[in-house]
Amino acid sequence: MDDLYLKLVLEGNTSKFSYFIEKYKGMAFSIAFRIVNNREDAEEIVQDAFLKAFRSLDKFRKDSKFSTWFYRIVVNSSLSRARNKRPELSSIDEEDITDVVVESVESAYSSLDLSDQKKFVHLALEELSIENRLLLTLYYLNENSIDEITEITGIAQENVKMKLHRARNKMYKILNRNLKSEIQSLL
Amino acid sequence: MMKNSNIDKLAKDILKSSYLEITDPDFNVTTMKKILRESRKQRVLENILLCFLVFVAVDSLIFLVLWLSGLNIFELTIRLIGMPHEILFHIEKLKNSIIENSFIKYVMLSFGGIMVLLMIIESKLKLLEKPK
Repeated sequence: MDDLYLKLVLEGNTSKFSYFIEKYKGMAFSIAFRIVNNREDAEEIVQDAFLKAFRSLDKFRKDSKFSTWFYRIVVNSSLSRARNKRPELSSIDEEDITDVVVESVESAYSSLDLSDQKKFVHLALEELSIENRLLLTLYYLNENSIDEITEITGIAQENVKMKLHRARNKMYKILNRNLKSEIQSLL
Repeated sequence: MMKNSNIDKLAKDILKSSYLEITDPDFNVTTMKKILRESRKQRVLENILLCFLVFVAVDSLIFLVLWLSGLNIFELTIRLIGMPHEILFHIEKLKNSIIENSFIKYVMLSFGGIMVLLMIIESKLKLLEKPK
């Protein structure tokens, strides 16, 4: 479907570009937000990314999917915006997580309602570094493959796997800590 | 020992709730407006290039035809052509003012013509492309 609309836009039917905006704006926004951590900035980045994509649409070689190519634009724009904004946060140790941690997160998380689940995930992601947030978003939320993540972020394939593993562990640890303290405050 | 795939599955479930929506209801419209404006700019730029190429090609052709006919417009005189004196006098005067006296003026006039042409094209494009 993307190819068809791509062809139409390249043939001069500019209004058909709205298909790409409708299809990719949500995910692009999630990625940008995870990097810049600000709604307004993220919306602006996504809008600029669509404009950049349109400008260089004729250079898109179709070696990869349109989404991969477009998300790379979003990531690069977001990273250059975030670079001067705030220091990276990450004070969680990098030891492996235990089954106890995972099980405790699973039971506590499932007992929350949807809005609280969103709140805790958001808080946990905020504590992670930009790179960790980005990798988790691409792999778990957007379901990009390791190859696609390599292409989008420019991180070597082996490093992506390792970093993903660490990011996931950190997220579990933060969630476990936050959920535990929430339960304790309720008791 | 919990399987890695199970840990992954749970991570996936957890992160599904981190999906965010753009709240601005006009996002699509404003983005499309920017894109249509960009598209117009690109077309105008292409038209400038095209007009310039056509201008150069047509002028070169005229010079070539005149040269092949044994006429050099830079040395054009009333006597050489032998046409009515008044008309050629005015042409000569015009030629002197735009070519011989100041070639830059001639180029500027040509570009002025192109710019007018482009403004007409752009206004036509604006009429043709209105955002949804």
